[in-house]
Amino acid sequence: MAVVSNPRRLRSIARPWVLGASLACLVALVRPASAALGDTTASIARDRIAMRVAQATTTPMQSYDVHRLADPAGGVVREYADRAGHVFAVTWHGPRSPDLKTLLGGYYDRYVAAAAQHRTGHHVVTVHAPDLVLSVVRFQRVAYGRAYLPNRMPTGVTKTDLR
Amino acid sequence: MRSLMSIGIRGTLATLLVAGCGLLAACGGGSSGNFAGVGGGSGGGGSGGGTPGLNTVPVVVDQGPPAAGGSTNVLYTTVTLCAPGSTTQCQTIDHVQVDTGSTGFRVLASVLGTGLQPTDMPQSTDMNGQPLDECTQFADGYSWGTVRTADLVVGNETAASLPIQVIGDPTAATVPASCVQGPQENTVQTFGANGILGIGNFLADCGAACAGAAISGTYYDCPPSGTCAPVAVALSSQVQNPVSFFGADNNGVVIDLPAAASPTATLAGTLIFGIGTQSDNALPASAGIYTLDPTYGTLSTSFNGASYASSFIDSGSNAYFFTDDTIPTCTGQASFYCPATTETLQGLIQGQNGASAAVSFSIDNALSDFATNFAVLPNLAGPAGSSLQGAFDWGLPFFYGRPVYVAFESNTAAGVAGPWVGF
Repeated sequence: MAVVSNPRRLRSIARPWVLGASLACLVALVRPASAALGDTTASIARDRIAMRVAQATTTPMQSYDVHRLADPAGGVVREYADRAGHVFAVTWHGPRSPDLKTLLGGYYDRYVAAAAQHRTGHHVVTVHAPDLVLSVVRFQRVAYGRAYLPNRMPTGVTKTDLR
Repeated sequence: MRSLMSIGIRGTLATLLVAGCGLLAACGGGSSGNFAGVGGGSGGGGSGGGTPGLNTVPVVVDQGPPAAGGSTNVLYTTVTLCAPGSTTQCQTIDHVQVDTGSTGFRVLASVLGTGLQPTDMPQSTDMNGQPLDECTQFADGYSWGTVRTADLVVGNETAASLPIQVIGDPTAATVPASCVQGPQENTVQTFGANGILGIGNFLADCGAACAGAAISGTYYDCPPSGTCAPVAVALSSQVQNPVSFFGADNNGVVIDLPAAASPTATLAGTLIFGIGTQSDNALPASAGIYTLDPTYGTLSTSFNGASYASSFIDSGSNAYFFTDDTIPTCTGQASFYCPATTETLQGLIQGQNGASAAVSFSIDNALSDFATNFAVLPNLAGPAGSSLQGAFDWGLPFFYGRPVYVAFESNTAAGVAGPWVGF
């Protein structure tokens, strides 16, 4: 959901309420999900999660916004969206990994394919392609990574801007 | 520190192992008569030391188990796994990966069955009295299996009544959706080893986070009739660092591998248990101690003017992984660097205690490395591709020609409280 390949979904994310839901979803990703959360219905969970949007902060940059989502355990996800609301990059860092299925959206399968090659060991997986640059690093008690779409970076933005 | 019972088991198991240890070079000079003395010494005196020379196990970098399809820069050892308290329900398992980047012993169920069945080891139960299963998520996939209790013999040391994971256990419940992250690694082919000996700086795999809350992607309550749900697990019931369960030499490990200047078929070395407990594991005065972040197990690396706060020295990574945009990645193999000529680079490793060391290392063309079909590729490197707070991962090539000391949390080694890494 955060890195979206489907243009239809990209447009929908630009709508404020959907953006809110997207942020809420990301908060759910970075915080350790509790058993109670898994046991509730989706709508209740959304409400619970929505209350945690207060932990999100948005920093406007010249050509994009950085949505920073933090959880009490120390996990942070940053979502980089251009002025049209298109998410062109995500980064994460914390004691646990966010759910990559959701975080990587349509690019999740690319991660799976790269991981299946299994030449880089258990702790580092990278993808370097013209349309996707991805790194997933995971040790016993820390996980971090970055995914961005080089072709969709706003003019003037480089990967060093993606903290 | 462990119970007398465990010491007794240790003696019998060690004797058993010596009796049938033709595969293990370190056993050659072993004398079963010494083991009673080992147990008695550690039990009576409570000191950290066992018998010199018996706190080691051979390790090797080679192609790995045939099913893995040719490993590169993966460090393996051989262990013996037994049902708790048994000297007959045992199985020796080769090609177990030695990983300082994770904690706990995990075995692939598919390699069991010749001497030991998964069900010979009792499955753990959780706070609800239900069977306990575990999801282990790595960067490159996930493994799912049961948590069981076993005796693990490594060299001449025994971890008695050790909680372990049996990956791909046919008795495990259906994999919960929340565990799935990347490809499944429940076979030797996908896992790349017959098991993994996680001897990193932590004593339990998940730690306080899982003791205090049920966390998806870790431990699961799996009632026989019903679906699995995440469950909190007390620290002592989590999958444990095996070395911390030894009766002696249990405050850390040393990985001692010879140097390799160019691609080589195999590389044999020694895994030494304990730090400063024997004449063979004293930290030399020339070595530095670099303390780690106690939460994450990380230290810092400065490279090319950037600081990477979440850096690791990790035997479980098979290359140097770092960011240098001036080095081209390989065509068709962009996970690795392919410089035109061998390059010598330098990074500065810094511990939380402020101690630092400049480390020079060489990298060369990964495709040329792979073309040798050798397992030992000392100059293999690839992009970490991460953000500034991300990684400089000093993988197994860092260990070639350099003894690396790994001190555990909640322990003191060489007079310094762990967790730390020394070299």
